[in-house]
Amino acid sequence: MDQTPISRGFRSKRQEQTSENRLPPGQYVTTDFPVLSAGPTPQIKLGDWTFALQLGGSLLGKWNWAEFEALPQTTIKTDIHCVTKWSKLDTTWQGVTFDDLLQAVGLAEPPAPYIMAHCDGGYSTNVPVADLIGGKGMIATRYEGLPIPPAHGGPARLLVPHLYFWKSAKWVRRLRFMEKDQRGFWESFGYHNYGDPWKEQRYDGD
Amino acid sequence: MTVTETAVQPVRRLEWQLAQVREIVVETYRVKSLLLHVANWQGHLSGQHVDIRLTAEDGYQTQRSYSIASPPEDELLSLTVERVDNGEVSPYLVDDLRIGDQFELRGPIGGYFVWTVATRGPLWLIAAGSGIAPLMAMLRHRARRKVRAPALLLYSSREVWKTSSIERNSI
Repeated sequence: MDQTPISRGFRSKRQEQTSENRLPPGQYVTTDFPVLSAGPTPQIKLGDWTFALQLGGSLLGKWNWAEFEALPQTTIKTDIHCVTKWSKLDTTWQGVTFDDLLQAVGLAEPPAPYIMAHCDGGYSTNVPVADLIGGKGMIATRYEGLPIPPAHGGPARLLVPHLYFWKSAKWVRRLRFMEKDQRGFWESFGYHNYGDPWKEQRYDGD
Repeated sequence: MTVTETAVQPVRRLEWQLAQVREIVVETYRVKSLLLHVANWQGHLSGQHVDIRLTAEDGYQTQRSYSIASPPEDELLSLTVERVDNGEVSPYLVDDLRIGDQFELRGPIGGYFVWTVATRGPLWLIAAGSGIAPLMAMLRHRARRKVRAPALLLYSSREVWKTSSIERNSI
């Protein structure tokens, strides 16, 4: 754009004292927890819930709810950033880190460089493995100490908080390793393939 | 919900464009439709949205997303905005913005929640409040193209819409 138009009379109403290095560009802080989803909220019984780790078509590991709960648990406090512009600070999540999942199936190294997360309802999203290892990603089952409500992705959602929150797929049931990167659901509808909030990678080409 | 996973190919960035207010329609005492002229608008599908960016005199900028309420057939782009009390952007858009004013916008965004006549009917649309905006784009698209596919809108609002634009477009 050659010139940025000034909106006369428009001014900031921000009350929050959020330091600049805490809020990515174009985001604002909310204390609510908005719910956005592309389809109906799946209602799955914990007795029917399973979680699987796959390499291509082969199964690396599969857990039922009780088995998954018995895996090492990690709690993290983090900020989350939705591509629709809201950010929520200091959210607390508990679950199983991607590192612990790898260890649980006896893998010292990730077997492929990309992951597709598959969810109840048909949603999917792609994430590089490098963005999940080293404590950067987890399968979360608790939010603020309580089971995650279905509207927020319960019983389990992927949590990759350093990327826009559509990557933190609700109702996740399966992580599939891929040799080549492929686009998931929103990534196929014009949203950025990677989604770094600090680079404001909202849409393709950003 | 199904999607065919596709290979990754970078595309051109959605650039910020200038939008100029050409007409303002009072829908209710707290809702207005802003009819915008965007010089090089590439077109959109009914159900898509835009991001807008406002810049204050002190350089402060903020962005919000708004659904497009106009169909692809119309020359002006319509955003239907509800004033959220204590909001930062919507009170400015509803109360302060005047015809001729300009701001930045980029889009169209989103390709999942859309309807085109090629998709055919029947249409069953459910909305409340300003959530009707993207559905109006669909009903207007259907009306402009004189499609006879059955359409049913279930709508809940706390206010009466002055222009009855819903009625006029739902044929």
